[in-house]
Amino acid sequence: MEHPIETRLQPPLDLTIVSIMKPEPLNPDAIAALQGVKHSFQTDRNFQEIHCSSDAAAKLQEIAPTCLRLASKLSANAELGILYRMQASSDHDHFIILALNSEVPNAPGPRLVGLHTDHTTDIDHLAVELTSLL
Amino acid sequence: MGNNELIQYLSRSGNITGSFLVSPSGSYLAGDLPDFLDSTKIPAMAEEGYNVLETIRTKLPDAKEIRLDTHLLAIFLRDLGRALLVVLVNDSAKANSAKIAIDVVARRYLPEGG
Repeated sequence: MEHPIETRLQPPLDLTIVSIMKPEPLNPDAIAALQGVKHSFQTDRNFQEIHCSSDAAAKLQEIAPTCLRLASKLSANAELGILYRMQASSDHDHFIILALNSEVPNAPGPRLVGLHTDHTTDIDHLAVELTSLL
Repeated sequence: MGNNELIQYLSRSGNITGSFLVSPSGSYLAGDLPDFLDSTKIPAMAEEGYNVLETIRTKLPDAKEIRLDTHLLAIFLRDLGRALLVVLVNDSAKANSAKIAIDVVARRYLPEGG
């Protein structure tokens, strides 16, 4: 049985308010221009694709639902709070999923943004820059 | 660096709310647990942690760490080969400095690098 992913954004990544005000997807070109971003995808709350920048992004988008469900289950089982960001890192890459638009039921626009970046990328700084695009 | 030394190092490094080590089979190895964390839930946490990591490794084969941000905590799960290190940080703003401490202990735990 699939459980919905509950998300709640808090500072310093409060992406919710502005994304509600601007329902259309983020500008893919603007995301691609962010420093360190190699690939990106956007999906709605049901993980349906809104935008995918490349085949590599599509592969990451494939595993996003499973990753988020497992990670959300992990945090819920341990009563550690509601998940709003997941990041996996290797020596070469970061793979980040940010949850958006979570506070308002049926809010339009992207619910998830996934980014594949260079490993030197400062993810917190990138998230702030992403916020400016919303 | 042994299991207990590793945990003690993390406990002294500041910014860290709690940390623990579990074996790949879910056995608790060492830890400095915060009051709010029920130790009986650690095996399930470890299993889920490994599951997330393995799922991601289908696309990023060399992935070694997961960071989960909740509205309460930043949670780091670092694969140390012989164990999974879980570190809890209660302020996302401090998570980057905690990350440095995790990198240090991972290098000491694994001579070839964390």
